[in-house]
Amino acid sequence: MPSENAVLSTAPVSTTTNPLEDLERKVLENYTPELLAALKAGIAVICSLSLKDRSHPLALIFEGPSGRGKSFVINMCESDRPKTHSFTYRLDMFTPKAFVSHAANVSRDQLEDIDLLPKIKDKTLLTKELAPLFRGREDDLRTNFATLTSVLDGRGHRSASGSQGTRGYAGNFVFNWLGATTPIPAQTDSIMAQLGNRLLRYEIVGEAPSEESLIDFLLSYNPSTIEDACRRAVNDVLLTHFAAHPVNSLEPREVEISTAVAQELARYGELIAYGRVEVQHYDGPEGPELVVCSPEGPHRVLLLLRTLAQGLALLRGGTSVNAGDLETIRHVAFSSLPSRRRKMLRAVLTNGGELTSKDTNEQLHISRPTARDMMRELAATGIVKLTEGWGSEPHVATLAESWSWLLPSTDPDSPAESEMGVCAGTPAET
Amino acid sequence: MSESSSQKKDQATMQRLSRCTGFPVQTLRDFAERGLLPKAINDASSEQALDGLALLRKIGEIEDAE
Repeated sequence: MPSENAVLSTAPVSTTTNPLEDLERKVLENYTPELLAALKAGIAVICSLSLKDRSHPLALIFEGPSGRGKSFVINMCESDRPKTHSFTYRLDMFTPKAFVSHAANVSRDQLEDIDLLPKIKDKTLLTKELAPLFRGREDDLRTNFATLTSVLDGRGHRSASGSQGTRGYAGNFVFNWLGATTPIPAQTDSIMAQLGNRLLRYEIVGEAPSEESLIDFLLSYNPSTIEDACRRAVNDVLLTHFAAHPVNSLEPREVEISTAVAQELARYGELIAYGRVEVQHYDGPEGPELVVCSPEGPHRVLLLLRTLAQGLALLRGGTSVNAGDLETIRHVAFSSLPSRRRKMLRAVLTNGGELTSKDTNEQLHISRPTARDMMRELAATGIVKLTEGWGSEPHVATLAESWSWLLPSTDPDSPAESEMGVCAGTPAET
Repeated sequence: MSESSSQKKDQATMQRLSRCTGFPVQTLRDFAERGLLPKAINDASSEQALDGLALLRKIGEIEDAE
C-alpha cells in the first residue's frame, strides 16, 4: 500500500517555468544570496525524505543572531496548501518530553493521540524557535538532550514514569528536522558532545541593516505579499519534487556519489567529529588545563552528510552529487563546530595554515589571553598544533599535517578542484 | 589583464576563500559586495570591518606570488 505521502503527491502547480528557477528569482528579488543558499539547504532536507532506508533523522539547525534571517528558512518551508501538508509538520516551540508524553492528567489510552513522535514520522519537523532548548539549567539541558539523542537515533523512544509506567515506540521512526536558534552557548555544545551530538548546523551571518535600508524597508516592504509569494514558490518546488520522487521511493544509489565526492564527504565528516569533540577546562596548579575526550565516530555524521548531499542533488533535479552541493556540505561542516573553534579555524586557514596569538588578537578583535585560550582549545582537538611562546613571544597555531587538505590547493589542476568541476555559480552536473 | 582573465582569477580567489571559511562562493561574493567579508569571517565589529575586497586582494597577491 502506498504511503500517505505518496498518495498525496500530485502534478506540479507551475508548468511554464522551472519551479526552482522561479523560486531563486523570487527570493533574490527580496532577500540576500546568503538566505537563498540557506533556504535551498532547508528544502534539500525536505527533499531527502524521498530516499529509502534512511536510518537516522537529518536535523539541520540554522544558527545566527536575532533578526538576521535565521527563521526565514523555517517560515518559507511551511506548507501553504493541503497537498504539501504531508511533507512538513510545523511546531513553533516544544519540549523533548512531547515526543512521548507521560502527562499525568491524560488517560493512558489517550496519550497516543498527543504523542509527537508518530505524527512526524517521514515528515520534516519545522521549529522556528529553538533557543529555549539550547539554554537553561544544566540539569534541564541534560534531560532534554538525552531524550533528543535517543529520538534522533531513529529507532523510536521508550520511557517510564511513575504516573504512566513504561510507554513509547520501538522500530523505525525517522523524520527530518529544520530548526532555528540564536548562537548556541559553549556550555550547551559541551553537554551535546557528552550525550552524543546528533545535530548539524548552518551558520547565518546576516548583517545589521543600514538606516537607508531601514527607510526603504519601511516604505516599500509588504511582508505578507513577499513572504507568501516565496512560500508559494517553495511549495511549488516541493510538489514538483515529490510528484517525481514520492517519500521513501528512491534507492540511495540512484543519486550517485563519485569517489572524489565521497572523499570530500568523508573529510567533512571527520572535521565535524573531531572539531566538536568535548574539551573539558580545568584550573590546574600551573594555570588552565584542557582535557580532550574521545571524538564521536564519524560514521553517523557521514551518513547525515550523505543524505543532505543527495537531497541537494535531488533539489536540482540531478542524479549525482556535484561540487556545488559540496559547497553547502562544507558550510554545514564548518558551522557544526563550536563557534570559538570555527572562528579560530577560519583565521588559521585564511592566514595560510599558521597564525600567531598576536595575529589572532588583531584579526578577531579579541584580547590576547582570549586569543591564546581559543588557540589552546582548537589545538586540543588535534586540528592545529600549538607552539607556546615564552615571555613576549607569541603562541603559534599551525594546521596539523593530517588536516592539510583543509587548505585550498595551490595546484589549479589538482583533482580536488578540477575533477568535481568546482564552479559554484552554475554548478555543472557531474 | 583581460576581463575574462580577471573574472577567472576572481572566481579562483573566491573558491580558495570558500575552502578556507566554509562559506559558499555565492555567499562570499555577496558578503564582498556589501563590505561584510572580514566581519563574516572573523566577526569583527562593524566599526572595525575593513573593505571586504582588501582581503580578497591580499589573497590574490598570495596567488600572484605563487
